[in-house]
Amino acid sequence: MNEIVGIDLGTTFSAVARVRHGVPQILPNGRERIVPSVVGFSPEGKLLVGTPARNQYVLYPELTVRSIKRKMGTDETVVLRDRTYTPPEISAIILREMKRIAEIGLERAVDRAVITVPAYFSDAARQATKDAGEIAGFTVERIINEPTAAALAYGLDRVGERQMVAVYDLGGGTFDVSIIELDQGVVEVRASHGNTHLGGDDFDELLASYLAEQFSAEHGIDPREDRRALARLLRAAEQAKIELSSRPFARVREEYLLEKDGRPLHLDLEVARNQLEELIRTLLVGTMDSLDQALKDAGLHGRDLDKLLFVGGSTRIPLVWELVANHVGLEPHTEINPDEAVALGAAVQGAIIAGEPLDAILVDLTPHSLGIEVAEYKFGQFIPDRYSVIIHRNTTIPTSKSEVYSTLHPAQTAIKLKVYQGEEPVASRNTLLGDYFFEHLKPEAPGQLARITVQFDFDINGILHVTAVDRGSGRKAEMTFSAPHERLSPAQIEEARIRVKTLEAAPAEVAALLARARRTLDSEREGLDRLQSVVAELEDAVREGRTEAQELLADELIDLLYELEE
Amino acid sequence: MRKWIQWLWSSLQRLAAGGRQKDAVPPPAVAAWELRLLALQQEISAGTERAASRLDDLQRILTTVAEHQGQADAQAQAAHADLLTRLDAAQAALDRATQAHAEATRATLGELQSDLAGAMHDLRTVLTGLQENVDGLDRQLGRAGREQLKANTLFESQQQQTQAALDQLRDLDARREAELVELRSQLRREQAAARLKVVERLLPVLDGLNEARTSGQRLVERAPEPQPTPPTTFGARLAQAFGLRPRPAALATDASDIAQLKSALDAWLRGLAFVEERLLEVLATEGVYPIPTQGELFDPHQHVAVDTLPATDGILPGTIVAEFRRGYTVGEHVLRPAEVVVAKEIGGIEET
Repeated sequence: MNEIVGIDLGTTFSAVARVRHGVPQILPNGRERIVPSVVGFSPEGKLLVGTPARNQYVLYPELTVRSIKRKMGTDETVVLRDRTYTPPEISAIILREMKRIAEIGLERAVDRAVITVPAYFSDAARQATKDAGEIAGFTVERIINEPTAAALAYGLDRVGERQMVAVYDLGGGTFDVSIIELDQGVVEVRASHGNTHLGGDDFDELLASYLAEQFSAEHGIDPREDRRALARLLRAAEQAKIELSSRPFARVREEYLLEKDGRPLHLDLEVARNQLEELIRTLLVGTMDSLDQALKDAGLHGRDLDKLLFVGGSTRIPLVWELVANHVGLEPHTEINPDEAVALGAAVQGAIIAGEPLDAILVDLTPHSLGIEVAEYKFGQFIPDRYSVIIHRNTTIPTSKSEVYSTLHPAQTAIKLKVYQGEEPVASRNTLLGDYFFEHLKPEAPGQLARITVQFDFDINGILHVTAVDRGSGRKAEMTFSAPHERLSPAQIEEARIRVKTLEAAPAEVAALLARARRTLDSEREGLDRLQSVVAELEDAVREGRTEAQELLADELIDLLYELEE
Repeated sequence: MRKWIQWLWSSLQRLAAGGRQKDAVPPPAVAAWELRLLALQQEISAGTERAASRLDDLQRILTTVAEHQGQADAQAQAAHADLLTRLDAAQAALDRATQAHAEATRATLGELQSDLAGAMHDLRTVLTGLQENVDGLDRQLGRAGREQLKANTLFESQQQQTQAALDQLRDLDARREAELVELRSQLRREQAAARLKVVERLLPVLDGLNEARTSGQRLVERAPEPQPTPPTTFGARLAQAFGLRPRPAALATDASDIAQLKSALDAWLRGLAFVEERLLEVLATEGVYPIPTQGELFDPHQHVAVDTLPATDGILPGTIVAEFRRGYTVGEHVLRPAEVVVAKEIGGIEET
């Protein structure tokens, strides 16, 4: 039977994935892992899909279609080269491209697919998506919701117990948050809310405008009026935004951006993370309202949620993490590439339909948060021994994150950098990895507080490199720690935790006995009632750590086994 | 006794019959016969008389015999009774003897029995002791069995664990082997990818260099010809723009001096072009080449249209008229598309 691929048919980008050896993976198109959802014709009538179509948009907007997903399920049509196309027909062209990519990747024909749609899609839009798949030559095995796909990618359907999960999806151009309920492999979308015109592109534009304003304030000329300068500015803004996800500062340098009076003008700015945060905060706070609305529609409170999943590239922004985590009171899951989670989940659904075995997606993770000890200024006083997390736990590695800290007093010229691993808000309750006395600090300007950038680089081998740089003097201190990491899926981590707990409680002898008893229970037919009850009692005793009862019950179990096996 | 009498009686009859047969001889004449018959009759009568008397005799004898017989019988009876009594006596004696014997035996038996009982008791004691030992052994055996079970269980589970660990290790080993092969090729791919990453990070630097050069070029081109007007201020500005120390004002006013500055700048820009070329050569060794733009036809696979210009006379629509940012290819892939301005026919009618 043919493999069933999973397709994330997105508004701006699409991706296709399959399950190989039980693990879902993206099928790339050459160097691209995601394909722009753009379709066009060259003036000669050649069909273009993906990047080439997007490349010609400015030149031939009348020959190019973008964001067709927004029109799915409507009666709107688009005209290209004197022909009218329905939205499913345009989507079908994208899906056919995904089919082609899959067939190259798998080296065989692919004709079965699971396609994802937003949870808020109407029945008409879902039907249109299914039609598109069939026009593209697929047997559409199922249309599933994007948040459902994300949950499948995280293997949450295989956890067993009933769970309430919030999926916060902030992409390049759309935002939605869904509350889903998983129970015994059945997934139900309880509520969904969002904004179909909000995403990373908006943040780029806000930052680009900010850069342009800074530039015109300095030089008296607005780069937004020059097409070329604007394009460079937008690109620089996006780059800076990405950099600010892992660094407290980003240097934006665009040489020879403009000329004024025959004189070249350069853009050279340092943007702090909090500057970007101030620009986008209002938009992000708006997403909290959507989250609340979705919770309300689902009849739930934040505390009812068991898990929070992050999907979409913009969820990499630390402020998103902070706002949502604080709002819900849960640490979001970010282990799976947020750009790919939906496609991977669709592939998982395909494997479930095909009856293929599934493993968890293995990712290298930091099992504990990593950070340093700080003093917090709160209610007019300093609270010492606080823990400032630099790398959150369950972050995929390798990873690199940095934060900036300042001294407490302008006259202070030294700090003790204490590196911890753990989750406790009180620093000293965590595991101390090491410390370093950093002296001769210099403020950047006289009378100011000295500032130190602390960068944590966690490599694939579980080595933590800590670099501290005094921004005033440029002096640098470096430390290296060996911190353990695990290669486990979230579900496995949970399982292992329970397993270790049980192992700790039961001595090897009792554990072995229990195992044998369970085997006997499986094999024999008669006289098992008593055995069963003793096993249950013993298990309880082990769980509750009652050693005396354990011994008695173990003896009884031995007798029973002895008799049964005689 | 009766038999005996019968026998006697039948013998007597036979005797009588024999007498008659003796007289039955055939007669010589009837008279004779008659005579003879008469004689015979007489004889018979005599004989009958004789017989009767004899019978009486016999009767008497018989009676005597009977008397004797009775006597004998009585005698026999007495003898018999005597015998019986004697038998009884014997029996009694025997009984007595037997009883005596039995009594004697009983006494011995009692002794024996009590001996036996004693022996039995001892035996029982021994047996009980033995039974206890056996029970003890049984218990020990049970305990040993349970211990064995426990040990077996533990051993089994350990063995299973060991086996599982071994299997896992073997599995791991096999996987490692496969992984190693995969890793090696991955390493090669990643090395190439890493080099490419460095190259990609160099590209913006190259962009800056390119910007600097074209900006300088523009400045030189825009510079007024030295003859018509004394361009003191411009020369100074130009020099300043490039970070050059302005020459003494007296010399700067000189037209030939401006020409000299221009040619110096030209040479300086040419030097910059050499630096750029060298950098491009380094990229070429990594298989990275710039994408041709100016004058080429727009190709959406390599170029990104960022702006359009109305196609003027002599310029074919779809032709690239300017480059915003240089693009690069590596092998068959576009590393970064070139950002270009393309000539476009406006509304089908050419306008300027």
